[in-house]
Amino acid sequence: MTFDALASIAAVGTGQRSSLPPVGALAAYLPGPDEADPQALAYALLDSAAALAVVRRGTPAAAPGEPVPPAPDDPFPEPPVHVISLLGPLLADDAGAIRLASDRAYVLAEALRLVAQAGMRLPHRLLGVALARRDLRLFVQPVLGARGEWLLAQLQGAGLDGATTAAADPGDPELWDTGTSEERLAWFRHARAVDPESARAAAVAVWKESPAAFRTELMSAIAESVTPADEAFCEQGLDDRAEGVRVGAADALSRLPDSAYVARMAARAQEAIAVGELEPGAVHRLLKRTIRTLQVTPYEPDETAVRDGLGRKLSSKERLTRLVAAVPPAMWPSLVGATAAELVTLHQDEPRWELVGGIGTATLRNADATTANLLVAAGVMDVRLVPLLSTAATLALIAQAPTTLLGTVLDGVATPWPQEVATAVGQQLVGTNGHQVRPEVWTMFARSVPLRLAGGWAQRLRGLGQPDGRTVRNMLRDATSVLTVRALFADELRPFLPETSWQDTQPGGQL
Amino acid sequence: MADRWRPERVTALAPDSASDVAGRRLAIPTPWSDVGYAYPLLWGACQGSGSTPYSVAIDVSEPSYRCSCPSHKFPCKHVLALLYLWAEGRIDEGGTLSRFAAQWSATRHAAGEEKPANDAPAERTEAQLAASAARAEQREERVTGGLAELDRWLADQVTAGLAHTRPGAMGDLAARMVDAQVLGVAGRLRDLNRRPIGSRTGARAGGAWLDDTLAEYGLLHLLSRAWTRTDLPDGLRATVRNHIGFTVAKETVLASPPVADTWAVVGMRDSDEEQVSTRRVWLYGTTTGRYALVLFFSSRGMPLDASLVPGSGVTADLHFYPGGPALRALVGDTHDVHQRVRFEVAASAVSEAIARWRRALAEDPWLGSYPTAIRGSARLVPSPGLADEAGDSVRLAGGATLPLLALTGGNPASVFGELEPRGFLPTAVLTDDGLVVL
Repeated sequence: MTFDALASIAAVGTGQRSSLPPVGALAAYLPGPDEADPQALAYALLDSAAALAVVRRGTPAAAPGEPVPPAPDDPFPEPPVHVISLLGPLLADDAGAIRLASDRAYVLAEALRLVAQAGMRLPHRLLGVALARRDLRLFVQPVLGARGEWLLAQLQGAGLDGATTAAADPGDPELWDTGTSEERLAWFRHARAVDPESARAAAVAVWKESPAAFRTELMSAIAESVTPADEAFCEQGLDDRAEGVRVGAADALSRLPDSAYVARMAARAQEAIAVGELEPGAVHRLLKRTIRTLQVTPYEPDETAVRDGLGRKLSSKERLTRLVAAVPPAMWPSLVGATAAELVTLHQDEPRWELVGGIGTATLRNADATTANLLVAAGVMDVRLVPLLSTAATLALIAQAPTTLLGTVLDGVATPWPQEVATAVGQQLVGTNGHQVRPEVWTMFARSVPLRLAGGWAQRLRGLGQPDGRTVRNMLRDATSVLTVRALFADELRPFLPETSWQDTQPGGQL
Repeated sequence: MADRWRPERVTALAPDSASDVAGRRLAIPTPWSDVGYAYPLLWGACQGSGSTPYSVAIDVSEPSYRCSCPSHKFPCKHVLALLYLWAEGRIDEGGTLSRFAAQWSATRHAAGEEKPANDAPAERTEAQLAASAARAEQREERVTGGLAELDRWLADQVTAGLAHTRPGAMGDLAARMVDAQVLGVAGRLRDLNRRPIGSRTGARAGGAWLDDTLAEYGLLHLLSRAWTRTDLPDGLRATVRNHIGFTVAKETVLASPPVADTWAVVGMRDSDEEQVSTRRVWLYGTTTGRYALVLFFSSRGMPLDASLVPGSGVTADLHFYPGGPALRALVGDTHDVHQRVRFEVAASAVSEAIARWRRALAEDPWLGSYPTAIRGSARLVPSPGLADEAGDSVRLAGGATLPLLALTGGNPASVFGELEPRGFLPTAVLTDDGLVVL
């Protein structure tokens, strides 16, 4: 009797049976049944189960199959031993050194990039856990070395990698014909970057049969990379039946300073906005100063203005904002004799018209860093402008921003932050404002401080001891941990990194 | 004199990663003064946030350590930092022994000299001896009663059919076995109780759950029968008592003849159950070729003994517990500690390893696993396995297949591990760089 057969009998029970099948050679080792015991059959089954279980335990499963081909040699060196011992727990997502999983992933990604920049690879003993971190495959792949590449190939060959199917290559032209909407858009964006004219031609070819949502996405993609050659297509887009396409077309055209659309909008702006002078009072006469005023005449749209996106259903305020947003900031002096930054500060009689939003949008559309900096200098608080700002203007914005808005401002600053920005934010955190800023600022600070400064800031934060307030204490502890571990990696790997890499690269910037 | 530690050993000593990171951060010369080393003592003073530096003293031979800081971590970051500095070769032999280290060392020696007197079992009166014998007899009666109840329960289950097993039933029985002081059986029942009951429909109902449950019921019945037998050989009787849950006094084990060797630490596994954490450390005698299992216990959450570091070696006397096969041991006198230990192992073919596992099962049918080294190469398809030169293979259990494959690159290697019913659980591999624990 096999163990399986015995298990089948045990599942049903011996209560309804009068005997058990013979167990073969093992019977010689089993005690005989006690006829007087009403449960003799159950005990006999247990005796047999014990004997067969031991036999079963002594026969571990085999694993027949083909051997794997041997791995090639690994030409690249391993990182220093301290780096390896730090990488191990981070790859295993051990919460010991850094409490937050997102911080661990960030620091690990940064460290892996440093290892790659240092021309090193992961030690073989960490490859298993590294390949298990599919969330970090992008960062693990460059440090796999020959052994890791080989291991990954074995796993993939065995269907054991478990990673989802690799994302389709956005450069594959097949995607445009056969891919999903997302894949087609990915191809289109890729094609716009490589050959914008051909990409537009591809869009034109499918335009009529494409649904409104897809056309809207295509027009939005064109707006992101618009060139003068797209003007005619975008002009047609202003007549599209889908509102999203019309809005996208207007957006795209307003990014072309020499387009007819911008000329039309500039002419309307000149009708609606003017800069005049007030009759000076006695003091101003003495100071020989004039007072310039902003005069706004609500714009009443005609049919062509409606086509250009200044619809009659819009409020006067919204129509003015759209109008201003379509005028390149650099054009204002020639239109009204004042710069964009001056327009937002000019005196206005009641009712006052708000131009800041529209001018901010135009500044962004034209990537006009000069105007962005001037607007901030004029006291404009528009966090959308942060990516265009100089370090000095960024610092000014940080100084102006209420603590609750600090995180939003910093969100737009490229990482790693300039040293001056890191210092300004750090001083806010260690100063009296530390308990007022939102927790994410601590996280952003710990991650965005330039690597060469991480050790110093870690030490400074440690020097704060145990401040009042549980949240601040937690934030302080987390930020200190992140900075400490970043500094450890940096200290260990710095001798192997090119100086330019150490000073200029943005190891954590792409996360 | 012992070798200088490797940084990995310091890492292994850290109570948690945070302490390790803090220790590494302090492992720079700036905050340290008055450092020195004279085997086995290592000492130094670390300037912290206070005005007085913290004094640190370490005995690297054990290791044991003392720091004047108020940290509740043990060892603290100052101890770890000083060890890192030493392990990295930044502290040379020499230096003036600090007052703190000298006092600490003297105190320990004084305590150590008195220890034998404290450790020696106190003379007991006849009345105490009689009471002790009565307690032992009482426990044996309880165990007899408990195992009889167990056997009746098992027969009832088999009579009614395992398909009617009530979820949690084994938990209730386990509690009664605790009352009867049959703790080994209670543990096995709790393990069984944790397994989800499989589907109980169809011709071959229950699948793996049914097979595992019946096998375990059979082994528990065998244990119950073995307890009633008065004619068992001493070794087997000791094995039976061990599985039932009788403990053997440490002094008794240490009084057994020692087995001296340089023992390589070839595997370590930690587990938590109820309120107890257990560390299982496998040792391999580099001269004798014997294997030994050293167990450490602690209250859950408290650090476990870290004196045996995977990949390192210790020249020591081991004392084996009674029962067969002799695996569980206590570390007696330690003569030397080796950061790395180089040795050859007579790794077996798969068939030889399985034959040894079977012989071990013949001695102890309740044995969970058996240590061995197999010479083979890892493979992945159709299932993870280790195959030897003759083409025989065994399935790889646990999660170490990837690290094993990564370390060996598909080449044959001597792999240490535990053979168990599921297959082979690799714990370490001998590479060109020495022993690497998986």
